[in-house]
Amino acid sequence: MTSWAVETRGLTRQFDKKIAVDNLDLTVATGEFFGFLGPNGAGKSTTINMLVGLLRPTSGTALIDGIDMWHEPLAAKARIGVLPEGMQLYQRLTAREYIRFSGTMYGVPKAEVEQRTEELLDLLTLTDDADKLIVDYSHGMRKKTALAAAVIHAPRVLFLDEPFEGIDAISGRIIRDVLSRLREHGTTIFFSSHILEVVERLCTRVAVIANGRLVAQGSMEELRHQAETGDETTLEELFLRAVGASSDLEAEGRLSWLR
Amino acid sequence: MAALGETTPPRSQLGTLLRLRGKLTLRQFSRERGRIIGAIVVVLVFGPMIVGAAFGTAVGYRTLEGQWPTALLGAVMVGMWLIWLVFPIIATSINESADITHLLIFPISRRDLVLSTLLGTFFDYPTYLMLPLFIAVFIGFGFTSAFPIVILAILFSYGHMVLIGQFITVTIGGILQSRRFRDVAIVFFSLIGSSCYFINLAFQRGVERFTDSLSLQEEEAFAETFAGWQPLNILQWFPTGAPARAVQQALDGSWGTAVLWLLYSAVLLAVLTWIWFQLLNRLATGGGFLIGGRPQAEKEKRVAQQTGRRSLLDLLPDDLAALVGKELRSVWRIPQRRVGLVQGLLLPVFMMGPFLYSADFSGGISAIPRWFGLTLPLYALFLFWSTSQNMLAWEGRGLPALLLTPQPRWRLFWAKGLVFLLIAGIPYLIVSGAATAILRDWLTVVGMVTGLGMGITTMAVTAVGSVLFPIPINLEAKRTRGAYQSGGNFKTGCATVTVIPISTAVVNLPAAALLGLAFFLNLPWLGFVGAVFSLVYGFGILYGGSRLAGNLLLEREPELVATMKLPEE
Repeated sequence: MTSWAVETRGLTRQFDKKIAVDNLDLTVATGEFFGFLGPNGAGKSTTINMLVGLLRPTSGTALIDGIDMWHEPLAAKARIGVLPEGMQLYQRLTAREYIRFSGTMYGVPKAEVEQRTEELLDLLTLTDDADKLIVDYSHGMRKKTALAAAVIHAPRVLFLDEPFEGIDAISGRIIRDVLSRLREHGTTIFFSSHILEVVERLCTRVAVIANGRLVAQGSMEELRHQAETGDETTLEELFLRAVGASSDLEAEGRLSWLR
Repeated sequence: MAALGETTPPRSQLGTLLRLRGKLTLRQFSRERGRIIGAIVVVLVFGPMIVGAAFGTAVGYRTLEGQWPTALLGAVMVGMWLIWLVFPIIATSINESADITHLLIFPISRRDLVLSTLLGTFFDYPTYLMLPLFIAVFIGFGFTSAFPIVILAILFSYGHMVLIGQFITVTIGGILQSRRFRDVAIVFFSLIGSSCYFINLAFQRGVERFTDSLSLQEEEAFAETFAGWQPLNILQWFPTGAPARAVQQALDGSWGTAVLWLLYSAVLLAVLTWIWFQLLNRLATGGGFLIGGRPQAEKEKRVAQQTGRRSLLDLLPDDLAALVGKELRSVWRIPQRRVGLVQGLLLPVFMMGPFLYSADFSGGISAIPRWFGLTLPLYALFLFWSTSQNMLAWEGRGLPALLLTPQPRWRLFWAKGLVFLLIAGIPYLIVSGAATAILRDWLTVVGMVTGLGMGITTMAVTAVGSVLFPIPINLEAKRTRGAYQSGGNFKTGCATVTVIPISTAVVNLPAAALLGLAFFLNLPWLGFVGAVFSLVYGFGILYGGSRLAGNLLLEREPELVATMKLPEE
């Protein structure tokens, strides 16, 4: 029997009359690198927030390693690391202080916290700025700090909401390497991204959500098979097809005034 | 159809720019209702003051004799100019559209930019607060032969006032936008605000001492010197003082000199406008502000490096030490919390100020009433309540990060309790300890210890209150003006002034009753038993309160995260 690192059953979230996530059934196997895709406003962040305990579902269940996030939140949270949307960090702590704090909160022994903090700061090229307050950081530096804080306890499941958004090529490469390394050591990675090339390169399985509903799920091969396309079809094409979007401006006669 | 790049910008975009300004002005009120209330408060508070000042100055212009009407005119004009000069420092921007750096990417002529900046000030309500003072100038001098000079003087002065605000913004904008400036400004203005009473008191005493020290002859000599004083001789060199001198010269019939003074003001206006525009161009082309913010890293580096040292926190379990350390840093580094800390220390001075000012200490410490010891628990209640109230909201944007951790929730409150015990307890023990040392009275000792216990009990109530009735606080406001902007709703507002104080009173009743009984029955032993009971009871209630708050928090974390989001997030 497959052990699921992440499992949702009928997960639903309604905001007033709008159903942001609609009856979502999702499974992510242990050790998978799982890409969660969807257009803006599709319900990706809402789903991740429900999975990590920051947003109460209207109905349905969210299981982490078999533990119900909404019945045993502390046990479930002990197993995860999260890089949330908007990276809510303590603005008046330094990166070093914040990463140490995060490690201690997850019960990493003190000496380990010190060693891992320095290693992560060095790896993420934050050492020179490690003693500046986070409020004075650039977007990329904040993202790297949040990532370090999310992985310092070597979580069993890592949730990343748009980890590559607003990140330069060098930082992006470093983050990719860190994620690959985590996965090699058994961490399940669940991440959402708009950068489809990265998803295609890293992910073992992908799910596509549109208007709160799951519209496609599987490995690249499975998605191609579902879409009845050839081996050369890119994830971008599969994604656009899955969400029913078109990008052929010329055929549709749009922007015709551009000559 | 035009080819790419062939469009021609309209001859004048002034109308578009002013419409944009008007729209953004209206939007800021429709999007942030708090601004409407703020504007109404400003108009209600400052409106009558300014109308009164305008009325007073109009009467002064028409009834004063000799050099005084035009000296008053100069003082008013220079005073208004100085207010516009410091205005960007107090509130970096009134209106988003006032920041014309947004417009520099468009092909807009200099003329349109300058004119829209000047005319756009008519969309800012503080502009209209100046209007009564200009009307007063017109009433004072407009119906004289100097009429044309008066009109020009008003126009030039208005131009100078608007320009100086923009000039300051593009010159020291780097400082104004820096976090360090905001932090310092928040602390400075808060402390100035809360010290007004003492500044007024010191000024009053200074004047009294000065006038008391003068003999009759000295008073006459002073009055004679004052009567001959020509303040306009100094004021005339200010950009808005020169127009006042021009009015004075025109009234004296020296039209040539009057025009020269106006010319001086006009040249200053032109030069400043030119420099302002150069600075603006520099900003637009990536040159940055003329004077930028000071690098922050060094001091913070020193502070942060200290965190690796051994400290008393090492006596606590690792997780509790981390939570306590974070809370202590937050208290020190968040300016609003630092203000609260300083105000807590100054509170006894504020409370005792009127008493000390009017008290007769000729009878020594016996002049202090016996019941003074009973006031110490009140001080403790206020200090611990003001330090710990709405405690979760101070987590700011870090709250979700904290709630993502598997840390038992009651320990979060326990850690906060330890920190508040430290930062409220130390000033409390200093002040009450000093009172005890002076009075050497059993009631003061008992009052001090009972007060400490009651303060600890209070933190249990505020812990639960912070979960049930949270009020978000904007810790990273971009403007000093918005530093205390917070959310919350009617329910949380009502609870803060009813449920929490009543609950605090109820849980503190046993300790207060024992203290009251000891006082009325004059039984020191009962007082001491009550004091020890108060401490034990306080820690017990804090533990229980932390457990309760922790359980409540766990049940409503998502809702709390949603509540704590501010409108702009």
